[in-house]
Amino acid sequence: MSAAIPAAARPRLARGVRLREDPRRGWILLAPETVFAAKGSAADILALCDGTRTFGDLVATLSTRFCVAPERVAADAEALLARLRDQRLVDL
Amino acid sequence: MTPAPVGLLAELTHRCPLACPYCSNPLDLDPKRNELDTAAWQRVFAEAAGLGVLHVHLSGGEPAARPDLEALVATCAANTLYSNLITSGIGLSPARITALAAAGLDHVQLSIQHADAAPADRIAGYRGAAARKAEVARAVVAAGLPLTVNVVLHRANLEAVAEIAALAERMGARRLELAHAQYYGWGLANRAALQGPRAKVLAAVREVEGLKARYAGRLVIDHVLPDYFARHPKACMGGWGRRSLNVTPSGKVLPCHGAERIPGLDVWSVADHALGDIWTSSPAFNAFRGTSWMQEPCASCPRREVDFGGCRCQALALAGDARATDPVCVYSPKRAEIDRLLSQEAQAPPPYRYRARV
Ligand SMILES: C[S@@+](CC[C@H](N)C(=O)[O-])C[C@H]1O[C@@H](n2cnc3c(N)ncnc32)[C@H](O)[C@@H]1O
Ligand code: SF4
Ligand code: SF4
Repeated sequence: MSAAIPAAARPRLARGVRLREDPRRGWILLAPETVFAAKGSAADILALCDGTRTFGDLVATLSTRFCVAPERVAADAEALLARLRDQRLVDL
Repeated sequence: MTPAPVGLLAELTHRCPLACPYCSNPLDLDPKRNELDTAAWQRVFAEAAGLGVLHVHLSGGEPAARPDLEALVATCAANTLYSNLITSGIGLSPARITALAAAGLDHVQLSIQHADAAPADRIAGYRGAAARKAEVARAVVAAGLPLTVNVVLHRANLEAVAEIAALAERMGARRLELAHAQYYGWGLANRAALQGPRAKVLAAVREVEGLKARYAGRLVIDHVLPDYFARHPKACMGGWGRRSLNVTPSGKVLPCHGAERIPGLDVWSVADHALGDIWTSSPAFNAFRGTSWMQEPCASCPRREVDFGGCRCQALALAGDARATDPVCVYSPKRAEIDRLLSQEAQAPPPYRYRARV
């Protein structure tokens, strides 16, 4: 189901979904029956999903911040957000 | 070292205006005078956060029967706990829902009984319940709170799952939990009335799986499968004392909501102990933790870390021994007992024994 995410999409955490840092578990995404461990770059990606920034911006920001090719950031972010969208944790 | 718990189920009260025959609350309900007060619950929540708990499920009975619900939600928010209100909706005015949202409530799970009002009210034992719940759903959505609709599936609503999914979507839910009745408490007392005929249960299971695909991207459908038809039991509570704590209205801390019925279990109360001590050291939590308590066939089974031998309460209820293998399991010598119960389905169901009111 993971169709490509348009550069103009403005991803944001769905209502009732919270990203927080837990002293024991690191960055996690919380929904009613879900604890999603935001490992590696996932926390950085999700922290930018505020509904104002476009997907294109998000990719450019992270690509600059971590000196990683935009194609790689885009592929990672797309896989993550498509999966979370299917679970209705992220709105696009 | 014992890993940190993830969730705490706070049974704020056993009082409830409804009388659902499937209710998982115990037959001997805690009266109001035994309930923990506001300050005691607030201490429990603060200790839970310190212990590593992430989710607090505010349940009951009907949590809206507690006038301090707003204050308790605010305490959860102050401790960065994710608060989930599990409610029948009765007792939640739009003003109260707005106040709960302002206090920091994260999510509402509203239970309904059926897609049609008449059977829904009959199941709930309360005239007008369905109409009130529809109003509550509107107010929850209007307050900007995310909504899950929960329906316990049993003989009287198994054939209405498509209508239930359509209703949940119209109500504005993002998630629908369809849970085949589990037989604890009042639900166990009503097992013969609730158990659907095999063919209808299996048809409903298939239909729900189809609905999941049909609603993908609009409504997440979580399907809690019927125990008695499975080959192996579920990992009850994700394993005894591994993930969750359950605090009763009077402050007893249990590894699951049915555990109070297990004879000889030494259950500690928040009145006498800190929550962290209860989690790590109370005899009740250690009684069935891990795998060392197991008998055969569980003790040498490759699935022992997958399902932890299933549900202790079900083992007690059906095999007469809380240490036995969950009789749902095909390896259990008591599996025949389950099949005997299922074969009684052909008989006409007895009338409901409605849950008592306290
Ligand atoms: C005991 S109720 C208390 C909260 C509230 N009164 C309500 O009914 O929503 C907690 C949750 O358990 C569900 N439930 C009750 N009895 C059950 C059973 N026998 N099997 C599965 N779920 C059950 C209810 O539908 C509800 O979502
Ligand atoms: S009787 Fe129904 S509404 Fe009341 S606590 Fe039990 S399940 Fe919830
Ligand atoms: S024998 Fe015990 S551990 Fe093995 S599948 Fe059955 S219940 Fe689970």
